[in-house]
Amino acid sequence: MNTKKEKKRQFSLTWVDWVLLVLGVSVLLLGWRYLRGRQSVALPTVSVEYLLCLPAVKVEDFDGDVDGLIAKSASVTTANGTASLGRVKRVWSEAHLTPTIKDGAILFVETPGRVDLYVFVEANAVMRQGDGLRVSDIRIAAGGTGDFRIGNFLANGAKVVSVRKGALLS
Amino acid sequence: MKQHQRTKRRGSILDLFLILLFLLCIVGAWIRWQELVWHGVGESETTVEMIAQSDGVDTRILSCLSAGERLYTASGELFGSVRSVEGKPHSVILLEDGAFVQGEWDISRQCRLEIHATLTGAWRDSVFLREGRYPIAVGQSVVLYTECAELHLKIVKIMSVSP
Repeated sequence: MNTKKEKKRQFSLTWVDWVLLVLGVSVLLLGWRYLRGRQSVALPTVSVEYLLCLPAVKVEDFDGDVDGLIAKSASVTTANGTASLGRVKRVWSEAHLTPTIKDGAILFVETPGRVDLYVFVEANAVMRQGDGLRVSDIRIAAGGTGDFRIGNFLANGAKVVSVRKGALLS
Repeated sequence: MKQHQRTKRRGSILDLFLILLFLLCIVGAWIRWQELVWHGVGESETTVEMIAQSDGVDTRILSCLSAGERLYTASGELFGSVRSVEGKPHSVILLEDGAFVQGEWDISRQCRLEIHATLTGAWRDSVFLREGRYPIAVGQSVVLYTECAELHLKIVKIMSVSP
């Protein structure tokens, strides 16, 4: 009987243990509240339009039909196809220019068989201060580069040339 | 029995004392950190203007930038704010018969992006520390973000802004 009591006393919580427990629980509660608060903040969604450029595309690699490579309203995703990055609005190509010398002056001439392919994409993006515009959690910013899958075409190393923020959706 | 309880309580008070001491250490360290970061710097806190450039940038990026915009680092930390943005001619040099020929890119296609930005920090031993912590130097390459643009810049000048 005495041993039992002794054991009970040995394993019972002292008030210091309670203080520590309360401190621990408070820290956990504060952390949980902080995380919940961060998650519950509704982030504004806006429509965005961005322009992708694929420089110096070799025309003969695509049977001479670069403009027909990408269908209008084709879906744009990441290279592995896991995240949606919008839909194609317009596609066009421009001559790829190369600097050359003529009569001692530098001229920019069209490079035969090569074009710069431009793809205009529209998407919905989430906006957060300091975190830019994110489409499917991927930052879309002018000056950046990335690998995109546009319809049936894999655009490796495409440059984001410009980004325009549109109307606030929610 | 009473003796045992008293011994136990004495131990507990010691524990409490240690806990309080630990908390005091944390609070003290935090206050000191704040002092080091802000108050130590506070006396000499200043605003500087930074000029940064990027060559061979597509001119269309200029439409995504405007004065007054905030510049952030990749981690989302505020870096400074844009004072002005300019697209300057971007030079191209070619070699012909052993002689260099210099020209300029068509500015409607490519340009040298020049950004003037203001940032706060302090000078310490001739080194400018942004926010009193991060050293910034001429020649340093930085990747900065605005809401719509990602800028790969090289700092070319840092100068104090007259009050």
